[in-house]
Amino acid sequence: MRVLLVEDDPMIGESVGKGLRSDGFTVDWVRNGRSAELALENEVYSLVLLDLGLPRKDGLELLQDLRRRGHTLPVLIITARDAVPDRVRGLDGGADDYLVKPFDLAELLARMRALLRRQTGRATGPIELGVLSLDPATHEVRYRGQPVNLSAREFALLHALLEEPGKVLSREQLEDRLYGWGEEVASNAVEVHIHNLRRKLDTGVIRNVRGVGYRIGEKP
Amino acid sequence: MRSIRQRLLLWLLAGLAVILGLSGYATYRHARDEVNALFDYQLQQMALALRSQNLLTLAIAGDGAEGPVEADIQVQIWDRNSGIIYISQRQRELPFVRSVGFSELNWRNRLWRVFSLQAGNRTVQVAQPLRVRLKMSADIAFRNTAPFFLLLPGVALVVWFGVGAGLRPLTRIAGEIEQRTPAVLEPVSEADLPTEVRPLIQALNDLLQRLGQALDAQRQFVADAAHELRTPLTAVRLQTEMVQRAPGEAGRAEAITDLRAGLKRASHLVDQLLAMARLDANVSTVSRQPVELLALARTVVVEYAPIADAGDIDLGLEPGEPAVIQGERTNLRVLLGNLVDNAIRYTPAGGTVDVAVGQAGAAPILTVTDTGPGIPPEDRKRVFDRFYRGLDNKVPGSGLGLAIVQRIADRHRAVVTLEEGEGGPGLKVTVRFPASGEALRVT
Repeated sequence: MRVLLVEDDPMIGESVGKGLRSDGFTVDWVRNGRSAELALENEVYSLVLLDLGLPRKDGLELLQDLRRRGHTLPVLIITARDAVPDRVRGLDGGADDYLVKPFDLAELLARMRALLRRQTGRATGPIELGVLSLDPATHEVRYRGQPVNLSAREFALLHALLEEPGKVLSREQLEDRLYGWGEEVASNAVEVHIHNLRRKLDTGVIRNVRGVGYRIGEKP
Repeated sequence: MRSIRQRLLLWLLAGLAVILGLSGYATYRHARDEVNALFDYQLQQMALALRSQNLLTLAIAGDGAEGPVEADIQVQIWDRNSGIIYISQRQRELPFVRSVGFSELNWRNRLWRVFSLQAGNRTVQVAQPLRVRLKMSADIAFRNTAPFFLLLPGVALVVWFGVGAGLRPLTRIAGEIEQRTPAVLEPVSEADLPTEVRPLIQALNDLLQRLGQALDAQRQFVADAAHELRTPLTAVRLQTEMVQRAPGEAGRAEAITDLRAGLKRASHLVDQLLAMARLDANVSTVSRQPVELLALARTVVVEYAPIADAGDIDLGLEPGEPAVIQGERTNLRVLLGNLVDNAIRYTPAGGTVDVAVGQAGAAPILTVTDTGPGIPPEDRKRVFDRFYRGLDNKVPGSGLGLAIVQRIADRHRAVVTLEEGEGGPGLKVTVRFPASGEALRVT
């Protein structure tokens, strides 16, 4: 799950980035509005964490531009502006949620999960498909009722595939979801993770559509 | 203690009484002159009439010859041969006055006005006690003045209510001012103000306005400060969580290092806020004294040397001549400390920070030059704003350092300029103090 973090404060950016990564997210961190705009042209993000007081381009302005261009990706505002009019302006400006600094990482993660869940049309809990279930909150994966131990990347890969069952994701798309900027990606990284997942679960769980990419199996 | 009303009443009544007294005395003086002239004429006429009067007639006329009773006239007639031949009231016989015409006589502690006339062998002497005249003059004066004294209570009433009515606008203003609180500092209405009170109210409104501005600034500062404190606190909170989540010993150690940096930053911000608040309070009790800049620079360089070493930055003081200015030692130290601290923060490892004291003409100058990234020209004005932290700033800071520098410089009427570092990137900050001839004062 790739997330764009827009935060100008180095310490907060650092901590949030680390926290999200430790939770299995892939994080790209930009420190001003202009860079955020450029990053968002990629459309690889599942969610945006947006600070409002940004240099070069204000967060709210950025958000409104984004919505005007028809982007629907979830945006969670994280800001020190706590006044009610600010919150109203933020939410009316197109934000899906609004979190006031200082906040706990745990709460931020919970809100992010809630947003992502809503995005995929689910109300609560784990994603279930046949005998396979994946809980984004607890990072628990069960196969035929048995817990399966997955690495963070393997989990993220499975999560991406389960998000839209049946949809075929290319290797590049999967790489985009799994790796942030500056992270070195071995040319066969996705294949290796797929291989490991198949080994830990079942070969039929992930199907290869030759020349196109991967999708989750119909009956895992 | 006394009200304006009481004061006015007292002054007006006392003044009126004195004026009435004086005018009474003037009336008395005037009346006395008239009475004197009148009675003198009467004495003379009487003496002339008695000159040839038959004594028998006189005797028959009896006491009536002396004229009006209140005139209290004493008539005595002498004959050269037979001595005193007539005396109107024997019990108060007067001595013979030798001089002819008007004269005054002091007889048995009483003053008399005497008119004496010589006619053949007869000497007619007509006399009147002066007391009678004085009493009459006093009566006249009193009759003329007394009614005015009766007016005084009336005047007092008029003053009492008149002043009350005149001061009513003050009561209204007092009521208006009473409604002013730190939250409501609107100017007092200047409509329908008595001319005398207008300057007072205008001064008061000016004061209210300045007070309002100061309060707004204070409020803004507190709001800004609270807002700015959120950022380092958020960082600290997140860093604490990262310590909890850190897997393994190495990860925890790293997280704790981050947390320590976060705490240091938070306390730095608090220090800076406090410094700013102290400057804002404008404590004019800070004493001015001669401050030698070179020695001050040496102190600050020594103070920051360990920090510079830790960041592998070459911090040094350039050779220069001592320069003395009149200033606030502690604040000047804060000023230079902030500049050096900034320079160290923004200069990458291996860089140089130079502090120098010099002269630009007659003006002492202080410069801090670093080899950091510098500040783009379009940003150089705004970096002095409170809490402004520059574009693409990757270094944590309070955003107050240069604002504090500016405030202290202003207090010394010094000018702070930002330029590119010498020969390349970097930043050169120059603080130019007024030339020693120019007077220094706290602004």
